[in-house]
Amino acid sequence: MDETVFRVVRNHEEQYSIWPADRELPAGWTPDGTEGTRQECLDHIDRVWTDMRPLSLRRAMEAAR
Amino acid sequence: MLPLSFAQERMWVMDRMRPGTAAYTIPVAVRLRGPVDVARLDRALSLVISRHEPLRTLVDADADGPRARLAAAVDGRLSRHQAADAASAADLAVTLAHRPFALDREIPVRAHLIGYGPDEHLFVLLVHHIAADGWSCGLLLDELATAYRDQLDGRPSTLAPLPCRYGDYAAWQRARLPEGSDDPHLGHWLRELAGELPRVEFPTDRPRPPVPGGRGAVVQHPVPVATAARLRSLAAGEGATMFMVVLAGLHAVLHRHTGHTDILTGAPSAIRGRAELEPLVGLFLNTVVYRSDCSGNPTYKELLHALRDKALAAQDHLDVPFERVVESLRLPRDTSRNPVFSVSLTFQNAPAVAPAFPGLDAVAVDLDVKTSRFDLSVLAADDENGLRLASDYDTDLFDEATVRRVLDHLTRLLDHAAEAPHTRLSELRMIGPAEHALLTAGSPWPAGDRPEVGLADLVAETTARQPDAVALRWRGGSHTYRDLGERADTVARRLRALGVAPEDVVAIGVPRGPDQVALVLGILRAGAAYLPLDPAYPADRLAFMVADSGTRLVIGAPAPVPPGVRVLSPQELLAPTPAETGAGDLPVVHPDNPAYLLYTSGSTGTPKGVLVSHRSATAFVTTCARCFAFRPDDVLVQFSSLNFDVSVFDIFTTLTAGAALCLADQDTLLDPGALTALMRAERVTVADLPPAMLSVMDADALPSLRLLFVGGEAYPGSLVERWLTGGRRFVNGYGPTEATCASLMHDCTGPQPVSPPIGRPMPDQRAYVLDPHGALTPVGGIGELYLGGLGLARGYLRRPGLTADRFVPDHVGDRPGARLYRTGDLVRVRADGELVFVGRVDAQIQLRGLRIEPGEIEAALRRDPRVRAATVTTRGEGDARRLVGYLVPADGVTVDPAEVRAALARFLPRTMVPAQLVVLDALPLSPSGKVDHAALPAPPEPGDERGDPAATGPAGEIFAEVLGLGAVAPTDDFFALGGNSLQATQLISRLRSRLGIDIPLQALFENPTPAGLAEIVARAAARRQAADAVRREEAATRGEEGDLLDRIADLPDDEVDALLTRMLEEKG
Repeated sequence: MDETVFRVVRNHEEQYSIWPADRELPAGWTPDGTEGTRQECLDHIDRVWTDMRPLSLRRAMEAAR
Repeated sequence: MLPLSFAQERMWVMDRMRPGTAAYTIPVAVRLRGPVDVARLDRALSLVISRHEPLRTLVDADADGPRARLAAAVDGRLSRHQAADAASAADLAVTLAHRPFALDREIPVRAHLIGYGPDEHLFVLLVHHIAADGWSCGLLLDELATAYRDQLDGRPSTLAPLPCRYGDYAAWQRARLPEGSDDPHLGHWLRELAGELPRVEFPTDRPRPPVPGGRGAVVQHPVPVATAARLRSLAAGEGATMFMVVLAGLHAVLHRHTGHTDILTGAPSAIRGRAELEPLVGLFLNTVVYRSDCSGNPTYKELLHALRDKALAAQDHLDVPFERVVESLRLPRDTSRNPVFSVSLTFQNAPAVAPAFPGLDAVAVDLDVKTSRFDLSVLAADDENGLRLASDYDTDLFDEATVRRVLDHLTRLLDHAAEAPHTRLSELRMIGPAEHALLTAGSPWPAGDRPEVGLADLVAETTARQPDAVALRWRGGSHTYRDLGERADTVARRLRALGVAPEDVVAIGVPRGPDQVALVLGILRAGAAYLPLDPAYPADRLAFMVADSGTRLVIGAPAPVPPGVRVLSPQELLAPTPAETGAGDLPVVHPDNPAYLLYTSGSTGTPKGVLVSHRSATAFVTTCARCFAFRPDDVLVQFSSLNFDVSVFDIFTTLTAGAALCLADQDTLLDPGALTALMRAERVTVADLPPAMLSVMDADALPSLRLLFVGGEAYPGSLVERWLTGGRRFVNGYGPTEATCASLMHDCTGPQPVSPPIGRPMPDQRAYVLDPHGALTPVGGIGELYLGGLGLARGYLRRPGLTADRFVPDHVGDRPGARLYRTGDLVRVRADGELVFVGRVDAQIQLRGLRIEPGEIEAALRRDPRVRAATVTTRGEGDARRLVGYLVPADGVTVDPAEVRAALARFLPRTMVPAQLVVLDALPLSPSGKVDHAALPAPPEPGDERGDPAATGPAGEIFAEVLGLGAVAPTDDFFALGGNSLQATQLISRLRSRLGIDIPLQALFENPTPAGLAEIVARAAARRQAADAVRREEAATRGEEGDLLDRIADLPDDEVDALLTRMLEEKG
């Protein structure tokens, strides 16, 4: 079974993804502090990523309102 | 009786397996300057040959296996030749080296002296591997030089008497390891090679032939002095040898190229452990298999330690012949490969030193005889000339550039490993800068403007530019851009009135036609994303899509809708209201607002909605309009239903470019004749049609069709060739919905011997091929395709976890925070950067250690003119798990599955030929038009096909007898029942002595069942009868019997059959 430990990460558009904890984080991504198995991380993302619009779009739509 | 050693026996079997091969001939060449005393050299040669029994051993086969005897007379063995110059002397030597040895009739050594000028000779010694190893060859030359000196001096031989005979060693070996003995050393190897043995081999440049051709070449690769020095100090520091250091590097490279974690390679190992064996000429080699576990991505140092320990342990168990190990493992035989491993490492510690022939200047010459024994052998030597790598390889499988790249990767990786041995395998530098640039290159096509507007805005721009041009063609009539725009605006205003806004989803389930296009455009003009609901889909699935999307509005009524969802009729939205014209208060969409929501099937079975932004969609259609040079006079027929994103290409590329979109109903589109008639009548110039439809249409009937954009699934090159006529452009496109229609494309030009590659990234798109650790897959390797760029979808609607899992951080490109979509598709990177589709990550079949791509077998099946469509899958569990092919015959053809299977066996290795072929009227298709594997009927269990054991006749009896069994079933596998290759030769001998039928050993390996054997025997018997008849006729008419038999001997079986049939007919 896959025992890789992942980190939950987010980019400038507040889009979420996961990344193996033992690998160097790609530029432009920051960890949100959650670590665990793939499934644990994805479950966490299911809970916290409630507005899936990219941040810049959310801002543009709010400004246009 | 003279015993054979295990190694000799194995070499003899291999020689029988590949009759006529020169792959087991060891060539030794020495350039001699000065006056050669030919007579004395000849006598010296005779002396040395008679001293060493293996050099004059002949091997016959009788009913019990090989029998060795010694040739009595070995005098006068030096044959003389003349050549014009050094180059033609070398050419002649290579030609001579290719003459196979008949081990039962001629001694396994030949010597040639080729003169090419005054006092210039090339002395060539050709020794069959059954009689010698590398060490022996040096010995042989030294003894020859000594004997020659003795001859010149006219004195008795000064060669020291040999302490023992090779036969003593063979007898000792056999006494130590009696047949069937329980050997603890064998136990070591059985433990070492326990479990499934994956077939670890470099991906080949060409398909693997059913039997290795033995053709080869050698490339040399010097290692930089500094690297070599670092590696030596690494070896010293880790208590390892240079062999182990290079071996660990080779395992790491194989792991990175293949993605396998269980790595197997072989290495020859000298077994001259006793001093008395050292002066003997003979085969003292065993093969050692090195197995390492690269799962968990170990560091180089960890891998080196593991292999060091294995190598040390191997030394204690070297006396078990490899062949004994292979037989004990009871592996299924595969004539296309060596058993257990495909890649080997040979390490030479002693440099070749030229022998000292008195009065002559002797220089050793490398003869490139262009033969190979393995897929790829890495040869390493480390001596005063430095560390050198070379490789000899099978030229049927690999290009020189590929092998050079492997050696380059090995050197680069070892260099990094020596510098930083604690680096994990996935992070070791292996790929050079030029290759890295190729693997990460963007699109070869120039990028254009990236419109920051919505999809409907592109159509509105066309409408403003050319309002009276034809936008839609439908049932002989047409609609102008102005009509279309006005109807769409009407729809949009009504939807706005219902509260529709950007980020909303409006579902549409109406039949094809101008209304459908106007409604889609209307939804987009209102700022919403459209969700197509194909009325042909099952109602449950449509209901799921409506509920899952959270839409509040459904246009049309394709399925019952959940409470709270409003159903709108197309008519109420489209009814003209002249008062309301112009864009009015229609919203301006943001490029990141979604344009459409398409549901795709997931591997889990639950469809998921892919949300694609205007930015992605407009980038795609403007790219297509530009790259495909769309003009206002183009006409495109929309084949794709709205449910597939090909329709985005169809509709929006056409309307962006100001061309005409030709619409048709489903019945017309699915009838090849009707579709052709429509395309002719409408003078269609561009189409995106499925390969299955193109395969049944007449390419010549559509002269105005200038461009085909075809994708969705793999198709044969012959299809492309058929349509690539009359200046027509044929583009293969590839892309998942998640990356907007198509991300890669390939312009097909010239001959198309194979399925076209899926190509390279389209403008503004990225494609990387990565291994499971995220490292770039090297050229030639197979990895998973990741896509990036403007085409990336926003994600899966309301599935954050799934989106995060499939859309991952981009660590390869240079844009911080970018994402890549993990496609789940396996692709291979060609040397020119083109990507080739290989299969699905989850569809790849692992069967008895081999990775099998069903797509490769399907392609081979489809090449058969009797087959229209085919699919391949596995059925059964455990040992009964097997490949099963399903095929649909070509129109009007009755197919005998056995014949198709036999034809397939000529192209594919036995392991890839389906055990069963099932003929169907049609392949079951899923709604997306792909083969529905779950709906394929179960094939009959193999047991059901067992015939009557008596039917296999005497062949079956001999089969059982050789295996020491009372009875065998017609479908029993010789090797699965424990048969070994020696017993296989016994079987062949007994067939010959009892039935008078001579079949090649290889035939048994290819058909290792009593039924298969009976068939071969029957065919051979029929052929012999025919030949006898011909011979009688010929004798009667004083024909040239010898000629005919010679001709027959050189022909393949099927041609012999044809020749004989023809001759018998001629004779009446």
